[in-house]
Amino acid sequence: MRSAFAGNPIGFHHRQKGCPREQGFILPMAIGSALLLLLGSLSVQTVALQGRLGQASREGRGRQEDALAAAAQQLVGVMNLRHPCLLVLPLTRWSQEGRPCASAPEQAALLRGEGGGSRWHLLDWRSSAAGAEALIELDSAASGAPPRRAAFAVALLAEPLRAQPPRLLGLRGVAP
Amino acid sequence: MTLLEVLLSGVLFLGASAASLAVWSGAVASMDADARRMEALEGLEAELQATEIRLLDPGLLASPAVACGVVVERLAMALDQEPPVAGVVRQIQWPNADEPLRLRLVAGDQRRERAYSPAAFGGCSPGPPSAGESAAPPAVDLPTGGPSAAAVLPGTEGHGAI
Repeated sequence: MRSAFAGNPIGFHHRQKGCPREQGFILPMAIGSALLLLLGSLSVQTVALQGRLGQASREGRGRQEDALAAAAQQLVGVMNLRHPCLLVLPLTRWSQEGRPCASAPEQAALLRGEGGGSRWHLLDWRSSAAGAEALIELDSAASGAPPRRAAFAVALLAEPLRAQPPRLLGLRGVAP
Repeated sequence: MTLLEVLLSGVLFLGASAASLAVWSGAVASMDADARRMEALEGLEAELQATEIRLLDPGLLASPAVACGVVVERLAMALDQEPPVAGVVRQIQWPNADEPLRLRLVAGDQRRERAYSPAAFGGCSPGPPSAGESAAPPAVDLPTGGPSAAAVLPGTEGHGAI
């Protein structure tokens, strides 16, 4: 079976036996150029996607920061209102020395809370003469995201004993 | 070099160019939208930082003797004291005296929300302010020309200048 182009009636060049380099150089060049174009555009797309991912992460961090700040406000508010004696006690001593001002169920209620669509729990409450520090973690079982926690500094006032609003010290990762 | 080779190369190159152009165009549009979102996020962050600084005012600290309703009104006044950062819309809302005050900042399609419990500001006594209590704290020097109380009525949303 003869090829349709065997006779090459409208070919640009006649095939030249002595010049093999000129044979078929356009197709490889076009393939190379196409690959380069596609690779270049894929690189740009990758950069754009990385930017989008970074921004989504920043948005998520902002939402978590808001939820944690609301949790800290809620916790300190309840402690100021109902259990001010716990302000000066570290969490490890609540169960013993904190009983006079907060029963076991009340202490358990202080350790967990919900607000703004997020559930949180108090990981630690450290207290010293200079003030207190709360470590709060958002529950992430529903979202599947890694748990996010934040530390808050709480300055204390005497006469009567009460706490100033919590100040965010920073978000922290999954593990301390 | 045959006509088939030239045609095939042309089609290949044109196809790759069109696809590349489409991807570039999409990527540039995406980066442009990201830049706008980032600008909105930075505006929200700046407004939040300014808000936190305003809330450090020692005049906002209450005591268990002060009604929570008074504290929440002081907080609302402090939050709405200055106009928000350009491009940011501020909304302040609280359902009643014992509920946390909610601050919502919106810029474009981005938003941040904070909740401030009146009792966290040094404690307060639950309930609305009594007849003799005033929302204006004596120690706080509120600038003239600040928002009127009507701008932050309980249960409604007020916002500063856009």
